[in-house]
Amino acid sequence: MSLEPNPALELYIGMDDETLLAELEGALLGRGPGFGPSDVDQAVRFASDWLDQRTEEFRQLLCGNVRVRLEHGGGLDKLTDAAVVADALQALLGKPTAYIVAVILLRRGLNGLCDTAGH
Amino acid sequence: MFASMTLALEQLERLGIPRQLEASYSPEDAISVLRGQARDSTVIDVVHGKLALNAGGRLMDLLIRDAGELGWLRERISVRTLLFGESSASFLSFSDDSHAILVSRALQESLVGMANLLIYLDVATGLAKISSLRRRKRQKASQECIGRVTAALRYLLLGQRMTGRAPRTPMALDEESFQFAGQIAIGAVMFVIAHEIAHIVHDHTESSTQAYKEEGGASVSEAQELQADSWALGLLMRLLSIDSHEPGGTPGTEVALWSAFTAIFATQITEKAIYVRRSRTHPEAWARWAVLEKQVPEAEEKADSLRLAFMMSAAGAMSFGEEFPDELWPSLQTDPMLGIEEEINLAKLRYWDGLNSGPLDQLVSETDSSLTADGRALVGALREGDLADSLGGIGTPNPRLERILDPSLALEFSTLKRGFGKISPTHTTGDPDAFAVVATRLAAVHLEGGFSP
Repeated sequence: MSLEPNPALELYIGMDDETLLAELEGALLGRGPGFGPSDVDQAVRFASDWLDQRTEEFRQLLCGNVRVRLEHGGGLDKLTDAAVVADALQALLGKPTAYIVAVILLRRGLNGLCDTAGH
Repeated sequence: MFASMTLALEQLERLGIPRQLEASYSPEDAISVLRGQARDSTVIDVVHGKLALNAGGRLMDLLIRDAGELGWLRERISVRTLLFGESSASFLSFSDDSHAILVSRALQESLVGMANLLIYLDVATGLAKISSLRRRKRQKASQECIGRVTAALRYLLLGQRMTGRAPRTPMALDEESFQFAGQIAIGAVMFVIAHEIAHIVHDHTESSTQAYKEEGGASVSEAQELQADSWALGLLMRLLSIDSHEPGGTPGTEVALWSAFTAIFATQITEKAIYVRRSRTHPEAWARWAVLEKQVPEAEEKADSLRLAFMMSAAGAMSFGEEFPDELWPSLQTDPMLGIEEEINLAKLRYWDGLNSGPLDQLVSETDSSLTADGRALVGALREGDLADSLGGIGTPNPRLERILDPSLALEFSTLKRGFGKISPTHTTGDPDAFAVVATRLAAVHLEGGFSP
């Protein structure tokens, strides 16, 4: 994991929740012209649904060692936490999707993701 | 092949789309999906998944055969069905020069439904014309057929407005008509894919609503869309002409034109009805069709008449400013070829139609007695056109409110309705749907003015 300055990650940390979801949709489906118009909230709805579908995979990747590092690693700041989570997600999601998802999941709280039945 | 489009295939996996579609389906499964009758989501996913894959493969094969300079696309583009999400088609380009084209299952279903309705109109008006009735009665019978298609389209539009998704249109066409509807539906999927390939070929990387020419007129995106349509129709005509060399086949140009017509109208026929405000990224369906029509020198008179009849049906279905003729609804249940979802019965359709097309002042009065103090304040602000205040409750966080108010962004009726639906428990003690629709219609009066052609 690199602890070098990461401007892309910092940019995503500065975004509000819905802008992040719209960014996630763009990263997943592209920003080029489609076949018809698309509604202002369509991107947010798509990204939310996609995140919900991948919840179990995120749990498996993040609710073990990664969560422990965040809880007990001692004073990791927001950017470093995001870098740790993004690093864990990168093989699965690639960049920049891993960055965006890391910021969203951290903002929602890993406890919420991990403290459910079976974990 | 995979080595040359690694990034595109990796992206497909992120979207939950496997590199190879292993699952198979029976001919009966495919028929039930193409008739709009299938209920099993797994079967629907498999059939639609293969539909885009096969359609994309055939288009690529043609490109290799006919356009040597574009042969590279075969190794660079991966076409798949996006099995979830709303109606859409898009493409992604990656740093290894690979591309992924995604057509949503929702859009493919819509294309299938619209192709079936189009052929239903052809069959039903044809039957009316060849019947032994006198001329006046034949004309009346033809008009009744147009009325039934209008009702079916209205059902689709109301369903989309009220639920945020297009409802199923189960249909029972005869075998020959069904075959032709299937050809058109598959052709329409091909047209959509070819349109996206055109964007890649022409390097249309981003949407832009800036004017295409200094003197104004169409936006850059609108001009690009027309170019992509035109290129896609040319490709589809070449492909389907090869197919139609079999004896007895329908001429390829005819099928290609019907396919393009279906794709364009299935995507945008609903635009004015389900959008509170449209953007300038895509020209209206009528304009797109007018450009394509010119590409084919002579269309048969019968085909022109059928397209005109379909457009008339669409115009009737889209007229939410007028009360819908009540006598048309029962045909959706009594006509042996037409059908609607069991969950949406005629009583519900009539109620939805009243909410969406009834006089707004009257609806406001009727819902007033069930409003809470918050509800009354909101409706008052909406009537005054105080959008920033009245939409604050459904537009939080702030960027959402900015998007709703941004005149350059397309806004669906169902998006506003969802927002008002969420706050309805604190704003009304009555029917949440009635509250949400009335509030949406009040907001739309002010928001739709944001678009100026």
